[in-house]
Amino acid sequence: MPVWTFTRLTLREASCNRLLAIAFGLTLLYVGLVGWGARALADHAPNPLAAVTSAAGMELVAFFFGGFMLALLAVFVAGHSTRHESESGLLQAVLAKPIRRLDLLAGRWLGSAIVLAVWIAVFTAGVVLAVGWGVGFYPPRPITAAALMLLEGLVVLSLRLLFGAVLGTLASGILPLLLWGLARIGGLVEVVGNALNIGSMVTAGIVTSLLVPTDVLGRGSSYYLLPDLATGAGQELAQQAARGNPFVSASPIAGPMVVWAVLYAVAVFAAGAVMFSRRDV
Amino acid sequence: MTEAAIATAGLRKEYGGNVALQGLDLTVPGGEVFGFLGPNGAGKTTAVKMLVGLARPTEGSGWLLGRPLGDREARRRVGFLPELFRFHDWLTAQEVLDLHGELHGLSRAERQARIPEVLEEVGLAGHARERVGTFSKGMQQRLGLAQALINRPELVILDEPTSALDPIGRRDVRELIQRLKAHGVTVFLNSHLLSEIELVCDRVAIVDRGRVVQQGGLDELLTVRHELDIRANGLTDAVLARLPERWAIREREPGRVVLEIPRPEDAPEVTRFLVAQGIDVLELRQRRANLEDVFLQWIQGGDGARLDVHPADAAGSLV
Repeated sequence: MPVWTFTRLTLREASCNRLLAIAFGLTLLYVGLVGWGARALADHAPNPLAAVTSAAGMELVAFFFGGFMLALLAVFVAGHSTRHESESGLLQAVLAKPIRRLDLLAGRWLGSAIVLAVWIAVFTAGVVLAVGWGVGFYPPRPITAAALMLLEGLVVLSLRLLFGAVLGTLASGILPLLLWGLARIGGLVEVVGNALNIGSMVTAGIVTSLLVPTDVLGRGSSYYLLPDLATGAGQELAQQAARGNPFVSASPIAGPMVVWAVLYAVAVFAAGAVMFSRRDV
Repeated sequence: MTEAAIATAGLRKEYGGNVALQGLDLTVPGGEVFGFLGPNGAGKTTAVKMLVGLARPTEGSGWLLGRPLGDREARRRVGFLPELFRFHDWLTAQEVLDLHGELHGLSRAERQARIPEVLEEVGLAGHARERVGTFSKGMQQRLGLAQALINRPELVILDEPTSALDPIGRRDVRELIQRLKAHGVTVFLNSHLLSEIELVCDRVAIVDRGRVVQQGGLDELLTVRHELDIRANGLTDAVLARLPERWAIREREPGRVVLEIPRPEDAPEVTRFLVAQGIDVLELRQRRANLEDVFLQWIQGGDGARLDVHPADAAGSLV
């Protein structure tokens, strides 16, 4: 199966990549820092409710910035752009083999997705366990949060492969990050618009979510990290969300939005595959 | 004749508004070594890329081993060394070949048996476990040849296979090509190294500015001009002035003259003429043009007009 051959090649390349090893190492450091910070906050809290609230808040902030690490990783793990590899001669002998170009792109996507999944597993388990071990707070549905995060990463990855078919490595890496940033700003606009009841800001946020459904997935995942809303800590954080705290989402992501994000990633990947297949190498 | 290994009809490629290849009509018979030559920028690599499916023709069609261009089944039976070759430099030579063998659909057992063979064949035995990143350019080109042979191809397309090789490497490649031919493999050799083509090829096509200007058996091409190289005593201007017009003087130096004659059969007549003039003929041999002469004549003129061939003979010797 050529797809699996390219998946293994991508994984092999990732395992040889020192920068990726450093990224995983720094992630562990980040996790440690979050656990220590949550513990420190809890230690200084006036009562147990405040301790859980601040620990959960710390965890939400950790995931908020984890989203940025995820986007960077999604761009980075796909390696050089296929256009760059074609022009440098790396793909000429490969693509003359009896394979479809889709095989190469799908294999790379799958291999990169596996690396992202591993990273998300390490990150999520790390943060949840570090905070839980230090403070005793465990979010109710961390796996759902991680799954939404993975979907966010796959959207960025698909954009990276699409741009990689036509642009050089640097441009095809920066562009998805800019789009990811645009979505994040759009998300903040929506959160503030909601808090202040400004309809046009909410609409702008929803439109950016449809154009680039990454931030909406990130915010969606944060909902599943909240303490139970029936508890005091859950209510406190929900109120913060209503006041425009961008790190917290008090409502689950809409089902159709998840479907849209999946279709979006598939369509972007398919467009990338078509462009790569039609391109002269 | 066996089925044509490569056939193209009006294969044309444009990039934007630029015509890279005007309309390639090519037939490469199976089992032969075919030389594809032309100056830089003539469209050779463009043609090769279309043959192996890396680029799509703007117009025209082509067949590889009887199947249309781009067909994956045909590519399974083809080996290809690109002009621009680079491999994943964090892999070892063995891993690179394993990857390329796997992409050809070879089983693990087949790859394990074949990899040492091809490494041996290209002179890289003993380097299997070294990382490609540490290889010299010449070793990488040898590795490129090895990946082109991994699937025991029926047709091997080599785009400038010796560009990074030293004279020993070039000789190795020549011998390799001859071995392939002996095993019935068709070799399509894209090169601008004329001496190399002349040494190994059965047929050649000369391409210039995006079109084939000459195509045929090497022997036919090289005997387009019939020349006699004569060393003799007493070759004075007076004697040479009496030469019939149909024998043109091509080169002249003391004691030596090169005559171009319409037909090889005229040689005895030239000898008789010289003897009759009281000349002592020391040596007289038929000389055929080398590929460089033919190539330059076709390329420099840009059309056939420059090729100085006798009209009566041209019909017989040109394709």
